[in-house]
Amino acid sequence: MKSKQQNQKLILFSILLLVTLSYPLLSIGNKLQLIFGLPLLYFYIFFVWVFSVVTIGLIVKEKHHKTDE
Amino acid sequence: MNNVVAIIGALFYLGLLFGVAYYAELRLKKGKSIINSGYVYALSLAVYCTAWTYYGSVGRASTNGLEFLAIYLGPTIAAALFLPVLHKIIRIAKTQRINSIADLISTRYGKNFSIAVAVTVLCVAGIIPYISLQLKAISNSIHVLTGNLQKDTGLINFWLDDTFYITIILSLFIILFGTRSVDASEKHEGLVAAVAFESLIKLIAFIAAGIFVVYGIFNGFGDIFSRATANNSLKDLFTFGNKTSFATWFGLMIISMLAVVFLPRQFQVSIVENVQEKHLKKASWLFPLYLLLINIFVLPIAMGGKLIFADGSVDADTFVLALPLHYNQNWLGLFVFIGGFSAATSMIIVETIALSTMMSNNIVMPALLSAKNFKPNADGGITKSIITIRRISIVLILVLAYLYDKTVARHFSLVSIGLVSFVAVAQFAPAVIGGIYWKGASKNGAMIAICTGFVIWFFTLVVPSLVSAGIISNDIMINGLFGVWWLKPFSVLGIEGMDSIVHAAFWSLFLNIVVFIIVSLYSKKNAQETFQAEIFVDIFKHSANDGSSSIWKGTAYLPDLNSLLETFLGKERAQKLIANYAGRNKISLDTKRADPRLVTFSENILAGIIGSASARIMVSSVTKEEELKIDEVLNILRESQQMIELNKELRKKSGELQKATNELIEANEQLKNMDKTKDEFLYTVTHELRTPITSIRAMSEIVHDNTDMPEEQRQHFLAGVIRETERLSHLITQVLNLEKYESGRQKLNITSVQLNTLIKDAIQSVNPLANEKHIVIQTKIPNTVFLVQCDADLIMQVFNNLLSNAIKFSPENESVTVSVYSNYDEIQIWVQDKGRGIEKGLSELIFDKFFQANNQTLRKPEGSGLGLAICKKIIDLHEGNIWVESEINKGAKFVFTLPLNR
Repeated sequence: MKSKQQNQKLILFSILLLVTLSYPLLSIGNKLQLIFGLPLLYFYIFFVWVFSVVTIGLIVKEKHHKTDE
Repeated sequence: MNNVVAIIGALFYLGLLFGVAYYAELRLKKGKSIINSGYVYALSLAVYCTAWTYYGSVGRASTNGLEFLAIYLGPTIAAALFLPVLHKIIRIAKTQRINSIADLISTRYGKNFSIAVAVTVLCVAGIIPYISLQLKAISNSIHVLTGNLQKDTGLINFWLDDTFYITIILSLFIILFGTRSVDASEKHEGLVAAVAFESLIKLIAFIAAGIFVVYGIFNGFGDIFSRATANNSLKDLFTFGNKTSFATWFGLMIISMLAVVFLPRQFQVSIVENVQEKHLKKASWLFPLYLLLINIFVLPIAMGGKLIFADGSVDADTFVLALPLHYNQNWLGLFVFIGGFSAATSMIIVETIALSTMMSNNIVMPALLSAKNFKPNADGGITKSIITIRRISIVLILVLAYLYDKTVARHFSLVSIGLVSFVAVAQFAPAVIGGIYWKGASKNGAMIAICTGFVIWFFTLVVPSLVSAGIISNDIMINGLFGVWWLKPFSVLGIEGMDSIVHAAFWSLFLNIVVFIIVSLYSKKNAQETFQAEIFVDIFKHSANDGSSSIWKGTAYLPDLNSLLETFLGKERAQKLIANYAGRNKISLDTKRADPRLVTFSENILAGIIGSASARIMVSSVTKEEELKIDEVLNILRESQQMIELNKELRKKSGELQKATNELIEANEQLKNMDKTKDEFLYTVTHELRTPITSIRAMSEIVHDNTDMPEEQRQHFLAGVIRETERLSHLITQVLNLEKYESGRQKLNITSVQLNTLIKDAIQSVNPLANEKHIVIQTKIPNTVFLVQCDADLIMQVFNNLLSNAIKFSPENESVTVSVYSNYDEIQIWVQDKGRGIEKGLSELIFDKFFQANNQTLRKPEGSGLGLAICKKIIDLHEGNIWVESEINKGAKFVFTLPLNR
């Protein structure tokens, strides 16, 4: 069973993710520059990507009191 | 490499797929499903990554840089919404036996037939180019692998074209593979297992190619990127600005976010084939992880390809395959080819099966079933026709894809074809999302919105492709439709400078949503629609009472329903289903008339096979349905909702009743006990009264009968009579006192009493008794003055009783001690004797009425047996405690306390 709280967290996170991957935040990485040998934008996007996989994983693994929708 | 090796490799791979599917179905028969796992589910979702990902991403990366990542970041964001949104759709699909996106939309909007057709047409029109893209990718990759760069033969010499043979082989494969079971809402165990397997193969193959390029050809990521950023023609690809704007990026993310839910193949694997809802949890982080892994090497491969094939002799779409071959890594090349083949075939298989189900259920079957001369032959005969229809649909879809490839696609860049399909299926988003969250969404709104979106999509994306294929004149692109300047496909209303895909997505979705909302607000809904809206929006409330509510009203006969189900399921299975359902819901099957719930159930079962719109047509053909009014529907819904609530209330009430009953039983038990005690008390009292009366009578008779008795003897008997009379009146006083205390009629006459004086007086009064037995009464009282608030007479009585008891039970020449102790809130008085003591277990019982009398073996009866009971009552009235500490043969210590600060 899913919990309302978990759903709210996931919806909030998806909005955060959309903002992080859009203008203007995305322009942080929009420079021709190498970081650890990787292009800055490439690094930025994959960093956010890894972060999102971990975060979604943590949110869905949380145990909640059963409050059915 | 030899042509034959490539073809043998591909055929061998298809054989392997069959093996996987066969193994999965074998395991299922043994009750061990291998697709019942979050990992397999997540892998099957990766059917999202097609040959377009496998080859096309590299191509797009080498011209547009990082822009391609938006197509995988959108689904990542969507994955975060799997639990909140997809879970709801899955629950709806499970309870309503939905087997395609067209089915979902038509079921939501009143099981409407025309809307199902519209959705199906849009799906087929939108997806066929996408399938043709996969066919082309397969034939291209064969050409690269064999180094045999064949010229495009066109349609005329189709027998020379390998795409034609690929199409035929795949059609046969899919027919054998996907049309074995007739119930489309049943899980395709083998299909899902094979798709998951393909996802693994393509991921491993692509990563292998990536590792070879990055570490085999170059010296790691740093090497490739430092060389690429130093290259003037490549350095622009690492930032946005020239070729990719932020607006395009954002638009692509949104489109792909919708596509990952609404593409027919995604709908098939994520919703129809979902085994357990909880698998969504694992998929919502594993699926983005898969997308991340398969994309890590795309940019490095694109850059590597650009650096190595700097002269542009090799198509960037084929870099992933061309690079290993260029370095003579033929086996790796073959493996990479198989990976791309698996990406293409998994997409084609799932997409074709999903589309063929939609076509047969929503277009062919309704037409066939509503034909007047259609007479299904009984006992499952029709299932054969259904399967045949599906098979024909599969061939038709693949042939259409092949034709598209040969006529339109060969003139047109394939890179954006996938996105054209994405925009097409995104048109379902308002109708579906609105449908599951907004009860006001209406059939007319959804229908007109989808058509609007479809028309705009066709105008802004399909028309231009037809123009470049030379089918339509170029005039429309320059001067607009009918020469109207604001109707140019790439710049509606004169908006320029947008990417054509984002431009189309913006206009189609924008107008789609606006029309959907406005028409929904201003259109009336019929009963069926209202009912479905309730069910869909509040699915988590309604799925609990699945099957017990039905809005069907009319007359139906059981034999008709039976024979209808038998037509589709065969006699045995149909009867088993009906009997099971009737048993579960306690419906009698003896009457000829069918229960409305059975009608709904039959429709539901049929919906799984032929789709909800067709099922509705079928059921209404054998029954006589009465039109329901909207308020009737709402009443039924409200009633079933109320029933659930009432049931809850009832359960609560009966629980409370049970509790009350228990309490009553307990109280009754107590009353019975009290009654018994009362009886015993009465019995004991009369018994106690009889003893002195008998003595008195005996002695009086002796005196009466013996008149010549010596004076001394007579005196003795008369003294006895007086003593017994005193005892009698004492007993009666005590009984009366006890009664008074117990009933609460005794009022305390509280005064300040000097305890020392009280004790002295008490000792004085029992002194004669003590002297008789030569007993000394000692006192241990501190020298302070204790002022106690109490009823002096009553406390005196307590002392009297305790002291006389102590004297009574002490042996001669012993001592009795009275001591007083005080702590700050109470005062303790001890009365100790050196008698036989009291057994431990009896230390509480002795304060009961007539305890002594009832247990005469313990002590010889002296006194009324009420003394201690009276003491306890009096001390209770003073809110103190009384108890005894004693052991056998060690004397007894009676203690009572009186509170000090009253």
